[in-house]
Amino acid sequence: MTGHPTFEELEAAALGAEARPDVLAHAGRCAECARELAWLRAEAQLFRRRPQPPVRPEIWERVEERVHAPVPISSARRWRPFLGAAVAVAAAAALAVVVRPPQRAQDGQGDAAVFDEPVAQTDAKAQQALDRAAGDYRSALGVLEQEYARGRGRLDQRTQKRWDDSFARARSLIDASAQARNDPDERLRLLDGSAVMVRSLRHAIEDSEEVAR
Amino acid sequence: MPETGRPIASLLDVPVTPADRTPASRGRGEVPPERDLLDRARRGEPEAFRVIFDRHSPSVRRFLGDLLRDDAAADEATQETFVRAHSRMRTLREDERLGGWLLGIARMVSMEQLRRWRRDPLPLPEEEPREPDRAPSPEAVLLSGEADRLLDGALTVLASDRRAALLMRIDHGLPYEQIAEAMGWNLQKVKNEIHRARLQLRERLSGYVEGTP
Repeated sequence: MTGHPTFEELEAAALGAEARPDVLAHAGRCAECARELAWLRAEAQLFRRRPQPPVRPEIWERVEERVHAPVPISSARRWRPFLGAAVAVAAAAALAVVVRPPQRAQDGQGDAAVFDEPVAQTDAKAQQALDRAAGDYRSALGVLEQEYARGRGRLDQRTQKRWDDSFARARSLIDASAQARNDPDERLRLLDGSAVMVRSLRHAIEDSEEVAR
Repeated sequence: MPETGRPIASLLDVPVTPADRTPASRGRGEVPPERDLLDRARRGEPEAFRVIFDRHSPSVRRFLGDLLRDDAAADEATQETFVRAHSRMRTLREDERLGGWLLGIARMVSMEQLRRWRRDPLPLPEEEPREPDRAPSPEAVLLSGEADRLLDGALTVLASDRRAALLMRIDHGLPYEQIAEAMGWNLQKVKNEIHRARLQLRERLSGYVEGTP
């Protein structure tokens, strides 16, 4: 070897990877390279002899629990625009009910007085909006279920059950909201719950799409 | 080549033990079986992912322990790393090595944790740091537990990115190209950062080796 070895060559020799005989021979004659080699070896030993921290069994248990949640469905893009629109419409409808101000009394009628007729109209409109929201959520859930059905066969039983339970829960919330027609607040609460579930399911499938891409 | 300007030729006598894992032997040895494992994991075989976890979690946990310096946080981050790895398994390119890829994810997870800590810092430990003993010779330093404490302290003062790159190289034996992938840096930057990290490390360690901290 003419001249000094490169740093990478010395490092490889020190780490035991590719200890070329000519590099070692050079280090035997050259104080500068011998010093560098000594440092590199000392570093390697210092690092590697440190104790290995334990990997607690709970780590795998939690990983296993969490990785069973996503579903590898690759064709989610087909329904995404429709689903996004359905969810947005449903959310808007529900919001319209929430933000609609009560009809106040005419001037001179007293602060507490509220006309019966406008309230009745608002309730009817609220019911219509809630009906639309429930319909949209039901449609969105149907689209999600179709996509899920295509990928379900590739899942293990535990993951299938988790997804099946989630869909059943979302459906039951929408059904329960239909039965609560006489209680708009309760209906809205149930629809809010179903909206959260639909969004969660949609996000999970979108994540799966990211994975598949 | 890094220049410390301190004579430490006696460190040449410190061998790299046979038990030390070398970068090349680890990097190259993993390729054929790991490829099959990855293919199986990508197809959703839970057993394959479990084998990947068993094989790589010690290295990931060790790396995160060094970056986060907190056992509970390192456990949590190990869990998060493997959950993310599971969901991104299909994004792993054919020419990427699993070990480096996992450490790259682990580094991102650790950065997020460090950012959270900066917003909401942990209380300082009550125990006062101990003044290390001064050992008269490099061998004595290396053979004593003092060297481990010195290294620990020296790692702490390195910037987190620089520390991550150095650990990937020396402790985990990744080739520079894999470190570049994992860190999102170009090759020259990887070499520069590791070189600077080594200089910082040696400056602290050599002071004790020479008895002049």
